[in-house]
Amino acid sequence: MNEPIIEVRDLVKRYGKVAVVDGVNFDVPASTTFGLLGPNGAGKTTIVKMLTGLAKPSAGRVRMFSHDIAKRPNAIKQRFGHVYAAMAFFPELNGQENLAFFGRFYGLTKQRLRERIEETLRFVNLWDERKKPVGAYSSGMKQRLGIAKALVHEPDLLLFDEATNGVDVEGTDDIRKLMFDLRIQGKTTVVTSHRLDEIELLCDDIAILDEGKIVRQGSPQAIREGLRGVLFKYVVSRSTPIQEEWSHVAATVRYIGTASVVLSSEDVLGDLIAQFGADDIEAVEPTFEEACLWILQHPEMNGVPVGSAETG
Amino acid sequence: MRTMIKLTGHFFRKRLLSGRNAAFLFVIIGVLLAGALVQQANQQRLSNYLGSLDGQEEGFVFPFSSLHPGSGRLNAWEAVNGTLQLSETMLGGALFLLRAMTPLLAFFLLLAGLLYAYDMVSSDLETRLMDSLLGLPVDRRALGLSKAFGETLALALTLAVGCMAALVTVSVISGLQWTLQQMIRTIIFLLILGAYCFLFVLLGMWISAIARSSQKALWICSAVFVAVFSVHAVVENAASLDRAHLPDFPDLPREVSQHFEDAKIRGYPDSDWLPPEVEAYFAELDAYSTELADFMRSRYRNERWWSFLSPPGLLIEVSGPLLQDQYYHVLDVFYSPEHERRPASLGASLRQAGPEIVWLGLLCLALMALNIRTLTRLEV
Repeated sequence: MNEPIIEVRDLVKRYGKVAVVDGVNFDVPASTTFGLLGPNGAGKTTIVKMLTGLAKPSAGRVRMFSHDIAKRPNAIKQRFGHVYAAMAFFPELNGQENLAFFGRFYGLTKQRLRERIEETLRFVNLWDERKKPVGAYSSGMKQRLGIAKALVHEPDLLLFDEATNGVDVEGTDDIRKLMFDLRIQGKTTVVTSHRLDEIELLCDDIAILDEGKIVRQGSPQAIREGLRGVLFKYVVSRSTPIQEEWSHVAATVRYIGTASVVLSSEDVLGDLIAQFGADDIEAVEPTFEEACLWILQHPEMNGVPVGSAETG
Repeated sequence: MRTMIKLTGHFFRKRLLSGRNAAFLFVIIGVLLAGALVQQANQQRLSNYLGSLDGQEEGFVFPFSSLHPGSGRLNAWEAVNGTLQLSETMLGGALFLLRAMTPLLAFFLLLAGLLYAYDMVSSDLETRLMDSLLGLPVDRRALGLSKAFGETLALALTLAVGCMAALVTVSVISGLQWTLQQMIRTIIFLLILGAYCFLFVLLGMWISAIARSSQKALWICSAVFVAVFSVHAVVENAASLDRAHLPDFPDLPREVSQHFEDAKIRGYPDSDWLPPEVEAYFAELDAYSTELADFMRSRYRNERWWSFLSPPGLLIEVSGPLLQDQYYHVLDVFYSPEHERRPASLGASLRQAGPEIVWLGLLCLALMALNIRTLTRLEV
């Protein structure tokens, strides 16, 4: 097996006495997309900052491309691109000038840099807007320019930290498409998000974080399957009120004429059948989103690793 | 090194083309021009007044600098007989204007340096541009120093352009001519002004990095400005207190005064013979002169050391020998060791200002080290 691109061992970050990242372990193999998922404040961005050398770990180790980030930060920085929420650029420079500024520190020849600027601006669909000052760009355009900046030096690894935060629906869709294209191209990518749909769509392997710790890890499919026998979902074909005070009702979603009920135990199934009749109830697989929400809402049930990857 | 040059060039261009820089250029030309014209008018007025006295007003003592077309002159009238004792072309000549403006520049550049730098780090942290900058495969020390160098170069270049524009304008208006040595001295002084700006850019940058918020950094920089101003005022006053204990001038005995009155009427005798009481008075004056010279020497030494506590004081002290001191105090004219050992060459001027220049350099190095330490530990 090839050596992973990223190895994180016993990573801890404390601010004062508070540990915002607490003993995290994971590996990211080459040509895979790894997702860090969790609510706001779970420690996702802090982990990415430690991966990029923007923050120093309080304890533990980060190795990327077989080097310790603390010892060879610049050699490692040459090999990854970083996109974060609300990317900032020099507002007085245009898109092309910004890319030229950031691109020239990666050792590309002038000719190659020019070519890469054009290629990446075309890739993110900003070629026609390249002469506009970045101060006049929308947030979605800035994020796309951020992707171009991250790609301009042809990195081996991409880190997307809440890259679609604060971007409108259309912009989010554009960015997701770009991230998906990069996945198809076989780029090794780390994605952090609190948006479950985004992570499920993009990632081969996911670590769910809560309060600085990994509570589950595996592929989206494996995470769902790991809750088989623990979490149940039924679709009721009448929009009759569901008694949410029943124990073990994890969530209900009502649509016109139907309602889905997610149960954390089959004990309440009898009550459901008694209320609606067996013919009107259909068992379905809980979605990834429902599985993740259940995991985050039931910390007492966590600590059980799912899938093959190492967890803390 | 190439990376640093690239980064410095970028930050230099960015600042040079900024609105803040344009405002600074406008203000520096305005302030220097106005200040220099007021100085010139004052000197001319004094020159005219004292010229009209024509040495008839006995006991009038005042040194002053007058600007005649073509040169600046240092004139001083002697106390006892009221004749013009000293009238020489000031070695500073046209540099007198820059010298006269130095105290103003010292505070103005302190303010400008802090205002240029107070958001150098904090605004990048606030907009998250710092994430991108620190994400570059560039040593943080190089990044931090490039920012400081770029900002300082922009500030120093703007200052140099502003100073030269103001000086040339005043020179054209008043007919002052520039010698090659004056040009060289001006350029050297502008380089020292650049180091002085660098000191405050580094200070502002450090404040910006530790405050992490532009608003907070602006408040701290304002407090620093007031503090430096206050320290300088305290230092100046402490030096003045020292100067207040001047030895008393020997009283003129009535018989000596009578002797001179008689001599005026009858004419001075050809022989060197003087009455014993006049000889005694002259001996007393010589002793007083020696005592005063010693006093002034020690006062100057004290004042000079005091100035090491105050960066504006340092700059003012450097400007003395470099731009050829212009004496404002009567005692300085006759008894200051500066006057006795007025440096003739550029090398001598630089040697004389050497301790202050070295101290300025050490302060810059200390602040560079502080900034590097802060930036290498900075987390975004």
